[in-house]
Amino acid sequence: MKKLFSACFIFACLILMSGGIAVSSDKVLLDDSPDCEIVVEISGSSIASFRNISSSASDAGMSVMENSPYSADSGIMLVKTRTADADKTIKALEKLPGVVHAEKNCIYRAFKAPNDPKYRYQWNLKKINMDRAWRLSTGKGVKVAVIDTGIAYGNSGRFVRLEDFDRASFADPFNFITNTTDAFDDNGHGSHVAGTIAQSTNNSKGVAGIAFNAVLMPVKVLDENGNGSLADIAEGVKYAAAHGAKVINLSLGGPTGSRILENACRYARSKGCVIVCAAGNDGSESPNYPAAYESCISVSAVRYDNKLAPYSSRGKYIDIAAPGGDMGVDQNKDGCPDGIMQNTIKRGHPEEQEYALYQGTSMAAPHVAGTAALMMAAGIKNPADVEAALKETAFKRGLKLGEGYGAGILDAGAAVAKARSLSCGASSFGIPEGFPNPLFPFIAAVLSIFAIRRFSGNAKHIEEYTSSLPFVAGIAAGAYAMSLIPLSLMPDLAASAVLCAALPISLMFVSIPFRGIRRFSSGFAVGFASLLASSVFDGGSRISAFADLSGFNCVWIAANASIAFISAAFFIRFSPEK
Amino acid sequence: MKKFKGIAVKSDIEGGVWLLKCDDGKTYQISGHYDNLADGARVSVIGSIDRAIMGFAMAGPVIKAEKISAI
Repeated sequence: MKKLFSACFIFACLILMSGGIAVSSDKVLLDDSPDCEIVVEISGSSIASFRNISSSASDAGMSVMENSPYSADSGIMLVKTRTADADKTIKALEKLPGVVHAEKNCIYRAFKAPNDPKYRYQWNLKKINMDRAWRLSTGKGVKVAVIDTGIAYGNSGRFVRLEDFDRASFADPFNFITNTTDAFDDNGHGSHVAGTIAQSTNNSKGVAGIAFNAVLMPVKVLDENGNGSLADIAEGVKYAAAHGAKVINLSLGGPTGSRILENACRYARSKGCVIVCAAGNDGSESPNYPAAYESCISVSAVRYDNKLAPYSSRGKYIDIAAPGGDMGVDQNKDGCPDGIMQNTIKRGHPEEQEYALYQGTSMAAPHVAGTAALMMAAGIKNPADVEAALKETAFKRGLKLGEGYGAGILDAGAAVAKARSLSCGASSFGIPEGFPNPLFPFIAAVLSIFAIRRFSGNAKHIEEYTSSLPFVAGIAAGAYAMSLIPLSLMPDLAASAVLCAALPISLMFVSIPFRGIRRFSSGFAVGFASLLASSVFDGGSRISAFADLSGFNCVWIAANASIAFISAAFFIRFSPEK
Repeated sequence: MKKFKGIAVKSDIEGGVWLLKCDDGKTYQISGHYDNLADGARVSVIGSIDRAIMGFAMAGPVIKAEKISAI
């Protein structure tokens, strides 16, 4: 019994150790909006057939839009309708010549989307692949300083807290204009920028923000006209770094550099801050500062069609591009100019709020800052690693890199996935995302074998059993075959059923009469337990069933890992020697 | 103080800023709100360029305007 306890202790330590560094994130629920989209597949993926069907659908009174800039090539288009009219619209669409198939888009599980009603206007978030990024991280606990005109984070005098910051967290505000500890926004710019980073998401209200579980630090250095002194901005950067900010957003700048500001940025970077700056809005190649400093990530602005916005600076100092909007066009045909929509105060009226469309490289920068927060919450800590991963994963296809795009257009989904794999060491094996990293299951399996041998008194036949080919093959099957099942596409209940110890235990019982299969099935149970125990290392990206591996999901996985392991230990110990 | 002549442009960059497109081809940002200024008006601005300030407009140097008059 003592040996059993010591074996279980080793296994429990493994589980607790891995649970202690688990990265959790909130689950994003399915869109339950009264409106929905119908996704339509058309025959002949050409612009001509796309236009024909688009015009026939418009004639029939349907609201047609592109799903992406590549919709004409891929033969996929979207039609907006009321959820109640969805079936009728599908039938009408399927009668149109050239339509292969039509079905509801809003209930498709893979397109998990937040329920914020104005999310549909946030083409910019779709463009940077947020649906994928949110499955891996929500930026929990990462402090993001917004050094700007302040943020509408509280009700005080004429200032109001924005309705779509109802679930947002704020810390350490400071106002360098008045030298006070309240940093309310008297312009609207800072709140808009902060909204892109962390406006409350999936709260059935307004719009979404990228790292909605991050903590915003309002640092006011710009006055109500949007201007501020170099001294205040430099001090603001140092203040943010000294107060624990891990990401600093600077949607400001000027054509003249400053040694003091450059030193402040270098200091913040040395303290572990990722500094993200707007590249500038003069449409030229002349550098803007602080964007052009080595320690800063400089962000240019692109439109819906991936072209650089006409106002965006485009010098060689650009590191990456992100959506900044173009109010002069409506390329996605959603009925609004293609600006960036966030909840903010009315310009110069801090007592009134609105959902405003802005354009500018100031709007592009917070896309990168928010993504950096997601990456840091996913476990990557070094600013240089964050910058390298952002650039490596940026969308590059069809872009003339070096002409203002830097490394390409931000892909938040790929960047956060890269951060996850870096934080759990998968990259060192060169293993593609979605495939299991062998290191942690391997360690868990070796420890399990050691524990089982101890539990069995290190008997000779148990040593032979646990080093036999069928047993080792069983471990490999249990550890890897399970992780290749696309559990993220299953409902949670079904995924929980697959990740239950009942499966390996049943296999062991069935295999009792057969020596080789018996060894394989007990190895399978050990491999299965090792996979589950080690999965918490990367917050579920190995067994991608759950977006949130804290709370019940974590207990479920730990419990089933323990049950599978203990069952296998008993099974092996009491197996016939021959 | 210096006199700048050009076209006042209400740009919708960054939620709205006033720019001065000068006759010499340079673009400046005019700091502040100007309710009586008409978009596209030809104006004369008396003020100074302040290189010690930065802002969110990032569309050129900032002119601290003392007086703006239509011409």
